Amino acid sequence: MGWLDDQFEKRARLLARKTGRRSFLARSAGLLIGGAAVVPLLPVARASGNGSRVAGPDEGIPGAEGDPKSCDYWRHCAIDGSLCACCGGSATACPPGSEMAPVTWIGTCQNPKDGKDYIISYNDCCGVGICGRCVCNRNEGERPEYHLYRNNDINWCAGAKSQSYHCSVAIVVGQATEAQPEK
Amino acid sequence: MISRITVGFACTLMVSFTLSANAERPIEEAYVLHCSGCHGLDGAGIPSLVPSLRELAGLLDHDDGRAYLVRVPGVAQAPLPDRELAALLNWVMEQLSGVPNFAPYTSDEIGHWRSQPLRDPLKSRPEI
Repeated sequence: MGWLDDQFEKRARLLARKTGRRSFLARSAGLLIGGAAVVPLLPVARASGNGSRVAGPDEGIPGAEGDPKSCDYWRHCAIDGSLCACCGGSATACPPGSEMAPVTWIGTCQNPKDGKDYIISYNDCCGVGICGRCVCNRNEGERPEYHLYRNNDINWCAGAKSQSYHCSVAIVVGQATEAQPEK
Repeated sequence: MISRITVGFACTLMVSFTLSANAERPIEEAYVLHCSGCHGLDGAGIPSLVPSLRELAGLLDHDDGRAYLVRVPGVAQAPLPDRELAALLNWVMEQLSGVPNFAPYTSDEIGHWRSQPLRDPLKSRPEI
């Protein structure tokens, strides 16, 4: 039976190298319930239920996760600042020691994998000196400062304990039926 | 951004550019896209910075409260069509604030009150 064990181990290792656990779980869930799990649902209802004010880490977005340290990453289409993934955090989480601002600006980016638009929350991480690494300035759908709520030049650390800017994240909040009207 | 401008502002209902008149964007999506950045996904706001959208029922007890909610700058100056703005406000009142027996805003009502934006909403609020 040793050869069977060897074959099984080789296959398992090959599978592990080629696939991620997240993608496996997402696809499995999608198959089980007809694909509904693949598209993240808007978090308004559950947020209003549990008191969460900002989005949590996003899961189940179709396509490769991409490189969160790259300015070209699709969800960075309107970000302006240091990418938190280069500062000890990730595309969706602040680096240790910094605080995610509760006020943010919201836009949409198109995922090239499925051609769909997703709502992105560009939260700033605050309370630590500026990171300065992986500075990325893309402005798709961004508007001048007289449209505060669509402007990325503003310090969105408002509401945080410290308004010292450190870096920015790009959290997928949900799928949009269409791109934001500014685009 | 490195040259960020510090802004401490109290957002009211943050809405943005006009959706096409025939757009069928779900109201929840419109809320996330246009309001949640400041008021939060749960509408709770931030004490002393952003008003809560979960406690608006009390404003309706005052004669001017219903108009006030439309005349605040973030709502009145929103380039959303009256019809979509009415739908969004009605959703906020019913779903986030849970106002019992709420009489929905009509497009005409929104159009009327937003044409008279408040110049100093922070001054007007305590009066209400």
